[in-house]
Amino acid sequence: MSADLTPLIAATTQWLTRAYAPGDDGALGPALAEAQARQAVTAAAWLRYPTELDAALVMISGPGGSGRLDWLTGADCAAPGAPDEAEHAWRTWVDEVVASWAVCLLTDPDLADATAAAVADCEHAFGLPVRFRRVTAPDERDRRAAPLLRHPDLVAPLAALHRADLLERLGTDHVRAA
Amino acid sequence: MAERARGGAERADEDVVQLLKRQHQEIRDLFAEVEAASGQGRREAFGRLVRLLAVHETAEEEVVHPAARRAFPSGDKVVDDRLREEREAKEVLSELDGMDTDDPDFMPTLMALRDDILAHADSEERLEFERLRESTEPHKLVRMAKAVRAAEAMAPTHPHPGTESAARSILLGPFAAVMDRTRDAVRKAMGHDK
Ligand SMILES: [Fe+2]
Ligand SMILES: [Fe+2]
Repeated sequence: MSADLTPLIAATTQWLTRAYAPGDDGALGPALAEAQARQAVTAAAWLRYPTELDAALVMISGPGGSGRLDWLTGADCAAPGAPDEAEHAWRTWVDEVVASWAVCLLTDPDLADATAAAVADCEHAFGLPVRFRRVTAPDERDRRAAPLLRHPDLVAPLAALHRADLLERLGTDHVRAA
Repeated sequence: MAERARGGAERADEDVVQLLKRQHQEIRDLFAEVEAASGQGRREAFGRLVRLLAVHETAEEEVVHPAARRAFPSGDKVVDDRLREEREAKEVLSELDGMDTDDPDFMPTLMALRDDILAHADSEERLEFERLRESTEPHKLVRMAKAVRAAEAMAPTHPHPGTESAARSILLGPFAAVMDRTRDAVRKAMGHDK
């Protein structure tokens, strides 16, 4: 629950919700899609950087940015004309591994449960009983709001990038046949 | 972070109860704004209301309700009641979201939603938040406010100081790998290796 990872989490969430925007013209769908993406990204970021020290180090070295992800997904970075400064800025805070792990969690309930359990007592939680319900127990409205983000085939290339690291981090207890 | 500035009164030592009550007031104000506006203005205000409701209820569900369950003896029952109210309101909200704001049924449905949401907010404040505050150490309440704010933060508008050129470079992959190795090395050196 430290504020340290906040820019990384907010930027990676924004990248996911833009790359897999459902094109819903209501207001509720996008808000629910963002809420569940953020919970998945938060759980993934806590798992990848479990201590205050890990968080401090990645904030110094930088999370790497969305360069490879934009290339992989052909995201709007390739839009005609150079992206303006503001559009470029937030992308430097995107964490590729965290984005990949987050879509793994959104498309695999077992990985979601295992990750939520693994981060429950990490330093970022500060002893608070945090609950990522939209990831571990999404309701019908959550599912409908994020059809692309929760579609295993559509997120497969992104999930595959770092799924092996996720399984390794969670330990063999949680590894299912992939 | 212009959007965060809207509430105005935000402070670093604000506790979670103050923060959520402030959001309840923002919700109340937005209902009034939707009611007063028309046409495109109403659509726009309704969009902001829906977004705030989704963000607010998500944060309560993620951070506050789980803590309240543990904080006082009847916590489980109080939270279950609040979750039921939230579910009911969510159904009306979902119905409303599928409607055009000019639809003749829109305003009556909005008023019904407002009554439900404000009654729910009132129950939270009286039955849940006050007891959570009485039974939780102040520094934990401040931590919880931080968690709620983190869960609502906008993406940064300035680039990471160290990665501006690297992020655009074809060398990103190797660069990220170098940084991973650096982190591992530092962790080992500090005795934090798992
Ligand atoms: Fe609530
Ligand atoms: Fe509330």
